[in-house]
Amino acid sequence: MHEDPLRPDDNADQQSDSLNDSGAEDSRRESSEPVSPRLGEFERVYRAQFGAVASYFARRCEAPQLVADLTADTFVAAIHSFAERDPSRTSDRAWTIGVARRVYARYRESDPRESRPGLRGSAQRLLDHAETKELMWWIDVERSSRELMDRLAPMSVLDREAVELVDLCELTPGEAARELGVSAGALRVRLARTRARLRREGGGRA
Amino acid sequence: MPRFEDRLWSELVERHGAVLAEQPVLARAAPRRVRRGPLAAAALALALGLAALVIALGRGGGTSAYAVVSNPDGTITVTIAELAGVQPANERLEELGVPARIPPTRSDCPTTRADLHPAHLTPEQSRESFEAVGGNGRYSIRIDPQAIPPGDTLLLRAYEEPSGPIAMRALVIEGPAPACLAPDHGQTGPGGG
Repeated sequence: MHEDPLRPDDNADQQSDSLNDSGAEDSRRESSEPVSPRLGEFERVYRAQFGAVASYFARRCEAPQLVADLTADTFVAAIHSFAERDPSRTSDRAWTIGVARRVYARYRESDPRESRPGLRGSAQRLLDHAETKELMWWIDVERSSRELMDRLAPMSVLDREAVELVDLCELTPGEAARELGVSAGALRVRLARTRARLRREGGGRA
Repeated sequence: MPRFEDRLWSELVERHGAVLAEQPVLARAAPRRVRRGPLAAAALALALGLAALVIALGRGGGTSAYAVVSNPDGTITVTIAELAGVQPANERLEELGVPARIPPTRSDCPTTRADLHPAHLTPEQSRESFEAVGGNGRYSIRIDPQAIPPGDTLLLRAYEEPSGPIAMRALVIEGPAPACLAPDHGQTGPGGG
Protein backbone atom coordinates (compact mmCIF):
# COMPACT_ATOMS: atom_id res chain seq x y z
CA MET A 1 0.00 0.00 0.00
CA HIS A 2 2.73 2.45 0.90
CA GLU A 3 5.77 0.77 -0.57
CA ASP A 4 7.00 3.82 -2.39
CA PRO A 5 5.12 6.83 -1.19
CA LEU A 6 5.68 10.34 -2.20
CA ARG A 7 7.43 12.10 0.56
CA PRO A 8 7.29 15.50 2.15
CA ASP A 9 9.61 17.83 0.33
CA ASP A 10 11.92 18.57 3.23
CA ASN A 11 14.77 16.73 1.65
CA ALA A 12 14.59 18.33 -1.74
CA ASP A 13 17.89 20.01 -1.17
CA GLN A 14 19.69 16.80 -0.37
CA GLN A 15 22.04 15.54 -3.00
CA SER A 16 20.60 12.07 -3.11
CA ASP A 17 17.97 9.88 -1.60
CA SER A 18 19.26 6.95 0.35
CA LEU A 19 16.59 4.69 -1.07
CA ASN A 20 17.38 5.53 -4.65
CA ASP A 21 21.10 5.84 -4.63
CA SER A 22 22.17 2.35 -3.77
CA GLY A 23 23.43 1.23 -7.16
CA ALA A 24 26.98 2.34 -6.67
CA GLU A 25 27.09 0.83 -3.22
CA ASP A 26 25.67 -2.44 -4.44
CA SER A 27 28.31 -2.68 -7.11
CA ARG A 28 30.97 -2.02 -4.49
CA ARG A 29 29.64 -4.73 -2.26
CA GLU A 30 29.42 -7.33 -5.00
CA SER A 31 33.16 -7.66 -4.93
CA SER A 32 33.41 -8.49 -1.28
CA GLU A 33 31.76 -10.67 1.27
CA PRO A 34 29.65 -8.59 3.65
CA VAL A 35 30.40 -9.30 7.27
CA SER A 36 26.76 -9.58 8.14
CA PRO A 37 24.43 -10.56 5.31
CA ARG A 38 21.65 -10.69 7.85
CA LEU A 39 22.08 -6.99 8.47
CA GLY A 40 21.65 -6.35 4.76
CA GLU A 41 18.63 -8.61 4.66
CA PHE A 42 17.10 -6.88 7.64
CA GLU A 43 17.65 -3.50 6.01
CA ARG A 44 15.85 -4.73 2.91
CA VAL A 45 12.89 -5.78 5.04
CA TYR A 46 13.03 -2.55 7.04
CA ARG A 47 13.06 -0.34 3.98
CA ALA A 48 10.27 -2.27 2.30
CA GLN A 49 8.03 -2.48 5.36
CA PHE A 50 8.67 0.80 7.15
CA GLY A 51 5.69 2.41 5.45
CA ALA A 52 3.36 -0.44 6.28
CA VAL A 53 4.35 -0.30 9.95
CA ALA A 54 4.14 3.49 10.15
CA SER A 55 0.73 3.32 8.50
CA TYR A 56 -0.42 0.65 10.92
CA PHE A 57 0.26 2.96 13.83
CA ALA A 58 -0.84 6.10 12.00
CA ARG A 59 -4.28 4.52 11.77
CA ARG A 60 -4.34 4.24 15.54
CA CYS A 61 -2.58 7.33 16.79
CA GLU A 62 -2.67 10.94 15.74
CA ALA A 63 0.43 11.96 17.68
CA PRO A 64 3.58 11.82 15.56
CA GLN A 65 5.73 11.06 18.59
CA LEU A 66 3.65 8.03 19.47
CA VAL A 67 3.68 6.78 15.88
CA ALA A 68 7.45 7.18 15.95
CA ASP A 69 7.79 5.37 19.27
CA LEU A 70 5.64 2.43 18.28
CA THR A 71 7.28 2.14 14.87
CA ALA A 72 10.68 2.12 16.54
CA ASP A 73 9.52 -0.43 19.11
CA THR A 74 8.30 -2.64 16.30
CA PHE A 75 11.60 -2.69 14.47
CA VAL A 76 13.54 -3.18 17.69
CA ALA A 77 11.36 -6.21 18.38
CA ALA A 78 11.77 -7.30 14.77
CA ILE A 79 15.54 -7.11 14.88
CA HIS A 80 15.57 -9.31 17.97
CA SER A 81 13.32 -11.93 16.44
CA PHE A 82 14.70 -11.77 12.93
CA ALA A 83 16.54 -15.06 13.30
CA GLU A 84 13.28 -16.82 14.07
CA ARG A 85 11.57 -15.55 10.93
CA ASP A 86 10.87 -18.14 8.27
CA PRO A 87 10.53 -16.31 4.95
CA SER A 88 9.45 -19.51 3.24
CA ARG A 89 6.31 -19.52 5.37
CA THR A 90 5.68 -15.85 6.09
CA SER A 91 5.98 -12.86 3.81
CA ASP A 92 7.92 -9.86 5.00
CA ARG A 93 4.71 -7.86 5.21
CA ALA A 94 2.87 -10.44 7.26
CA TRP A 95 5.84 -10.89 9.57
CA THR A 96 6.37 -7.19 10.27
CA ILE A 97 2.67 -6.50 10.69
CA GLY A 98 2.53 -9.40 13.10
CA VAL A 99 5.31 -7.82 15.14
CA ALA A 100 3.51 -4.46 14.99
CA ARG A 101 0.30 -6.04 16.25
CA ARG A 102 2.07 -7.49 19.26
CA VAL A 103 3.84 -4.22 19.99
CA TYR A 104 0.56 -2.37 19.87
CA ALA A 105 -1.12 -4.95 22.08
CA ARG A 106 1.63 -4.50 24.67
CA TYR A 107 1.28 -0.75 24.39
CA ARG A 108 -2.44 -0.99 25.01
CA GLU A 109 -1.89 -3.18 28.04
CA SER A 110 0.67 -0.95 29.66
CA ASP A 111 2.37 2.04 28.18
CA PRO A 112 5.61 2.73 30.00
CA ARG A 113 5.79 6.12 28.33
CA GLU A 114 2.98 7.34 30.56
CA SER A 115 4.80 6.63 33.78
CA ARG A 116 8.42 6.96 32.72
CA PRO A 117 8.60 9.67 30.10
CA GLY A 118 12.00 10.19 28.63
CA LEU A 119 13.44 6.92 29.82
CA ARG A 120 12.99 4.94 26.67
CA GLY A 121 15.71 4.33 24.19
CA SER A 122 15.85 5.35 20.58
CA ALA A 123 12.13 5.67 20.28
CA GLN A 124 11.81 8.37 22.86
CA ARG A 125 14.14 10.88 21.27
CA LEU A 126 12.19 13.95 20.36
CA LEU A 127 11.37 14.40 16.74
CA ASP A 128 12.68 17.37 14.89
CA HIS A 129 10.49 19.46 12.63
CA ALA A 130 11.16 17.49 9.46
CA GLU A 131 10.58 14.17 11.17
CA THR A 132 7.37 15.42 12.72
CA LYS A 133 6.26 16.57 9.30
CA GLU A 134 7.16 13.21 7.82
CA LEU A 135 5.12 11.33 10.40
CA MET A 136 2.25 13.79 10.12
CA TRP A 137 2.22 12.93 6.46
CA TRP A 138 1.72 9.25 7.28
CA ILE A 139 -1.03 10.19 9.70
CA ASP A 140 -2.74 12.32 7.05
CA VAL A 141 -2.47 9.56 4.49
CA GLU A 142 -4.21 7.19 6.86
CA ARG A 143 -7.06 9.56 7.56
CA SER A 144 -9.46 7.72 5.25
CA SER A 145 -8.34 4.41 6.72
CA ARG A 146 -9.11 5.70 10.18
CA GLU A 147 -12.60 6.48 8.97
CA LEU A 148 -12.93 2.91 7.87
CA MET A 149 -11.62 1.76 11.22
CA ASP A 150 -14.23 3.91 12.92
CA ARG A 151 -16.93 2.21 10.87
CA LEU A 152 -15.53 -1.16 11.85
CA ALA A 153 -15.46 -0.25 15.52
CA PRO A 154 -18.90 -1.70 16.37
CA MET A 155 -17.97 -5.04 14.87
CA SER A 156 -16.10 -7.86 16.56
CA VAL A 157 -12.37 -7.64 17.06
CA LEU A 158 -11.83 -10.54 14.69
CA ASP A 159 -13.95 -8.97 11.96
CA ARG A 160 -12.17 -5.65 12.35
CA GLU A 161 -8.75 -7.19 12.23
CA ALA A 162 -9.62 -9.40 9.28
CA VAL A 163 -10.60 -6.39 7.22
CA GLU A 164 -7.64 -4.36 8.33
CA LEU A 165 -5.06 -7.04 7.72
CA VAL A 166 -6.37 -7.92 4.27
CA ASP A 167 -7.73 -4.64 2.95
CA LEU A 168 -5.38 -2.16 4.58
CA CYS A 169 -2.24 -4.09 5.41
CA GLU A 170 -2.51 -6.13 2.20
CA LEU A 171 -1.88 -9.50 3.74
CA THR A 172 -3.32 -12.46 1.88
CA PRO A 173 -6.36 -14.06 3.51
CA GLY A 174 -4.18 -17.03 4.37
CA GLU A 175 -1.60 -14.82 6.08
CA ALA A 176 -4.29 -12.92 7.93
CA ALA A 177 -5.87 -16.18 9.03
CA ARG A 178 -2.56 -17.42 10.45
CA GLU A 179 -1.99 -14.12 12.20
CA LEU A 180 -5.44 -14.22 13.76
CA GLY A 181 -5.32 -17.91 14.57
CA VAL A 182 -8.33 -18.92 12.51
CA SER A 183 -8.73 -21.08 9.45
CA ALA A 184 -8.47 -19.48 6.04
CA GLY A 185 -12.05 -20.50 5.31
CA ALA A 186 -13.34 -18.90 8.47
CA LEU A 187 -11.44 -15.74 7.71
CA ARG A 188 -12.88 -15.53 4.21
CA VAL A 189 -16.38 -15.90 5.61
CA ARG A 190 -15.74 -13.12 8.11
CA LEU A 191 -14.26 -10.91 5.43
CA ALA A 192 -17.20 -11.37 3.09
CA ARG A 193 -19.68 -10.79 5.89
CA THR A 194 -17.95 -7.68 7.18
CA ARG A 195 -17.46 -6.17 3.74
CA ALA A 196 -21.11 -6.78 2.94
CA ARG A 197 -22.15 -5.07 6.16
CA LEU A 198 -19.96 -2.09 5.36
CA ARG A 199 -21.52 -1.83 1.92
CA ARG A 200 -25.00 -2.02 3.37
CA GLU A 201 -24.18 0.74 5.78
CA GLY A 202 -22.92 2.74 2.85
CA GLY A 203 -20.08 5.07 2.00
CA GLY A 204 -16.35 4.87 1.64
CA ARG A 205 -14.15 1.88 1.17
CA ALA A 206 -14.90 -1.80 1.33
CA MET B 1 17.82 16.95 7.36
CA PRO B 2 17.48 13.21 7.74
CA ARG B 3 14.13 11.59 7.61
CA PHE B 4 12.82 9.68 10.56
CA GLU B 5 13.04 6.47 8.59
CA ASP B 6 16.77 6.98 8.04
CA ARG B 7 17.45 8.09 11.60
CA LEU B 8 15.58 5.15 13.03
CA TRP B 9 17.52 2.80 10.79
CA SER B 10 20.79 4.28 11.95
CA GLU B 11 19.81 3.97 15.58
CA LEU B 12 18.58 0.43 15.13
CA VAL B 13 21.87 -0.62 13.64
CA GLU B 14 23.92 1.26 16.18
CA ARG B 15 22.08 -0.04 19.21
CA HIS B 16 20.83 -3.42 18.08
CA GLY B 17 22.91 -4.32 15.02
CA ALA B 18 25.01 -6.74 17.02
CA VAL B 19 21.95 -8.93 17.39
CA LEU B 20 22.14 -9.61 13.70
CA ALA B 21 25.82 -10.34 13.73
CA GLU B 22 26.63 -13.69 12.36
CA GLN B 23 28.95 -16.00 14.15
CA PRO B 24 31.09 -17.45 11.41
CA VAL B 25 33.24 -20.46 12.00
CA LEU B 26 36.68 -19.11 11.38
CA ALA B 27 39.10 -21.14 9.35
CA ARG B 28 42.70 -20.62 10.29
CA ALA B 29 44.87 -19.05 7.65
CA ALA B 30 47.77 -21.36 8.36
CA PRO B 31 46.94 -24.63 10.06
CA ARG B 32 49.09 -25.20 13.08
CA ARG B 33 48.72 -27.15 16.28
CA VAL B 34 47.57 -24.21 18.26
CA ARG B 35 44.54 -23.70 20.39
CA ARG B 36 41.61 -22.44 18.49
CA GLY B 37 40.09 -19.55 20.30
CA PRO B 38 36.47 -18.78 20.72
CA LEU B 39 34.48 -18.43 17.56
CA ALA B 40 34.16 -14.92 16.44
CA ALA B 41 31.12 -12.76 16.52
CA ALA B 42 30.90 -9.92 14.11
CA ALA B 43 28.68 -6.94 14.39
CA LEU B 44 28.24 -4.07 12.08
CA ALA B 45 26.77 -0.82 13.21
CA LEU B 46 26.35 2.19 11.03
CA ALA B 47 24.88 5.40 12.25
CA LEU B 48 24.10 8.70 10.73
CA GLY B 49 27.51 10.20 11.17
CA LEU B 50 28.18 7.71 13.90
CA ALA B 51 29.12 4.36 12.57
CA ALA B 52 30.28 1.49 14.62
CA LEU B 53 31.60 -1.68 13.19
CA VAL B 54 32.46 -4.67 15.22
CA ILE B 55 34.60 -7.33 13.75
CA ALA B 56 35.66 -10.29 15.73
CA LEU B 57 38.56 -12.50 15.01
CA GLY B 58 39.52 -15.85 16.30
CA ARG B 59 42.69 -15.83 18.30
CA GLY B 60 45.77 -17.88 17.92
CA GLY B 61 44.94 -18.86 14.38
CA GLY B 62 48.48 -18.83 13.19
CA THR B 63 48.00 -15.44 11.61
CA SER B 64 50.15 -12.36 11.94
CA ALA B 65 49.15 -9.78 14.50
CA TYR B 66 48.02 -7.30 11.91
CA ALA B 67 47.86 -6.60 8.19
CA VAL B 68 47.51 -3.33 6.31
CA VAL B 69 47.14 -4.06 2.62
CA SER B 70 46.91 -1.57 -0.24
CA ASN B 71 44.43 -2.81 -2.83
CA PRO B 72 44.65 -2.06 -6.56
CA ASP B 73 41.44 -0.05 -6.42
CA GLY B 74 42.93 2.37 -3.92
CA THR B 75 41.24 0.94 -0.87
CA ILE B 76 43.11 -0.24 2.18
CA THR B 77 42.33 -3.42 4.06
CA VAL B 78 43.14 -3.46 7.77
CA THR B 79 43.15 -6.62 9.82
CA ILE B 80 43.93 -6.82 13.52
CA ALA B 81 44.33 -10.37 14.74
CA GLU B 82 46.06 -9.59 18.02
CA LEU B 83 46.17 -6.47 20.12
CA ALA B 84 49.93 -6.37 19.71
CA GLY B 85 49.27 -5.48 16.09
CA VAL B 86 47.50 -2.23 16.90
CA GLN B 87 50.53 -0.01 17.10
CA PRO B 88 52.34 -1.25 13.97
CA ALA B 89 49.09 -1.17 12.02
CA ASN B 90 48.53 2.38 13.14
CA GLU B 91 52.01 3.36 12.08
CA ARG B 92 51.54 1.72 8.70
CA LEU B 93 48.31 3.64 8.13
CA GLU B 94 50.16 6.84 8.90
CA GLU B 95 52.94 5.93 6.49
CA LEU B 96 50.41 5.31 3.73
CA GLY B 97 48.73 8.64 4.35
CA VAL B 98 45.39 7.00 5.08
CA PRO B 99 43.09 9.20 7.19
CA ALA B 100 42.47 6.36 9.60
CA ARG B 101 44.04 5.73 12.97
CA ILE B 102 43.89 3.12 15.70
CA PRO B 103 44.61 5.01 18.90
CA PRO B 104 45.67 2.81 21.79
CA THR B 105 42.97 2.00 24.29
CA ARG B 106 44.13 2.73 27.84
CA SER B 107 42.17 2.76 31.03
CA ASP B 108 43.99 5.92 32.14
CA CYS B 109 43.20 7.79 28.94
CA PRO B 110 41.11 10.91 29.56
CA THR B 111 39.45 10.74 26.13
CA THR B 112 36.24 8.76 26.08
CA ARG B 113 33.88 8.00 23.28
CA ALA B 114 31.66 10.82 24.51
CA ASP B 115 34.46 13.24 23.70
CA LEU B 116 34.51 12.26 20.05
CA HIS B 117 32.71 14.33 17.47
CA PRO B 118 31.20 12.04 14.85
CA ALA B 119 31.37 13.39 11.34
CA HIS B 120 28.07 14.33 9.80
CA LEU B 121 27.83 11.57 7.26
CA THR B 122 24.82 9.92 5.77
CA PRO B 123 24.62 6.15 6.26
CA GLU B 124 25.63 5.83 2.61
CA GLN B 125 28.71 7.97 3.12
CA SER B 126 29.63 5.90 6.14
CA ARG B 127 29.29 2.71 4.19
CA GLU B 128 31.42 4.10 1.40
CA SER B 129 34.11 5.13 3.86
CA PHE B 130 34.59 1.66 5.22
CA GLU B 131 33.09 -1.76 5.10
CA ALA B 132 33.66 -5.08 6.71
CA VAL B 133 35.07 -7.79 4.52
CA GLY B 134 35.80 -11.35 5.31
CA GLY B 135 36.73 -14.69 3.95
CA ASN B 136 39.15 -17.51 4.52
CA GLY B 137 38.83 -16.99 8.22
CA ARG B 138 39.98 -13.38 8.14
CA TYR B 139 37.63 -10.54 8.86
CA SER B 140 38.86 -7.08 8.15
CA ILE B 141 37.88 -3.52 7.47
CA ARG B 142 38.33 -2.15 3.99
CA ILE B 143 38.78 1.59 3.94
CA ASP B 144 38.20 3.86 0.99
CA PRO B 145 40.40 6.86 1.84
CA GLN B 146 38.83 8.87 -0.95
CA ALA B 147 35.40 8.54 0.63
CA ILE B 148 36.48 9.99 3.95
CA PRO B 149 35.74 13.71 3.85
CA PRO B 150 38.82 15.95 4.04
CA GLY B 151 39.66 16.77 7.61
CA ASP B 152 37.75 13.81 8.99
CA THR B 153 39.36 10.66 10.32
CA LEU B 154 38.23 7.10 10.41
CA LEU B 155 38.81 6.04 13.98
CA LEU B 156 39.39 2.35 14.52
CA ARG B 157 39.47 0.88 17.98
CA ALA B 158 40.62 -2.59 18.71
CA TYR B 159 39.82 -4.24 21.99
CA GLU B 160 39.38 -7.62 23.53
CA GLU B 161 35.86 -8.80 24.05
CA PRO B 162 35.13 -10.39 27.43
CA SER B 163 34.54 -13.64 25.58
CA GLY B 164 37.99 -13.51 24.06
CA PRO B 165 37.95 -12.39 20.44
CA ILE B 166 39.52 -9.21 19.24
CA ALA B 167 36.92 -6.74 18.12
CA MET B 168 37.17 -3.47 16.28
CA ARG B 169 34.89 -0.50 16.12
CA ALA B 170 34.99 2.10 13.42
CA LEU B 171 33.78 5.64 13.57
CA VAL B 172 34.30 8.56 11.25
CA ILE B 173 35.03 11.60 13.38
CA GLU B 174 35.65 15.23 12.74
CA GLY B 175 39.28 16.25 12.90
CA PRO B 176 42.28 14.16 13.87
CA ALA B 177 42.23 11.07 16.01
CA PRO B 178 42.92 11.43 19.73
CA ALA B 179 46.22 10.16 21.09
CA CYS B 180 44.43 7.44 23.05
CA LEU B 181 41.00 6.30 24.05
CA ALA B 182 39.52 5.07 27.29
CA PRO B 183 37.85 1.68 26.95
CA ASP B 184 34.10 1.46 26.75
CA HIS B 185 32.37 -0.39 29.53
CA GLY B 186 33.24 -4.05 29.29
CA GLN B 187 36.09 -3.59 26.88
CA THR B 188 39.64 -4.56 27.58
CA GLY B 189 42.22 -2.38 25.96
CA PRO B 190 45.64 -3.34 24.74
CA GLY B 191 47.44 -1.63 27.54
CA GLY B 192 49.89 0.73 26.04
CA GLY B 193 48.58 -0.27 22.65
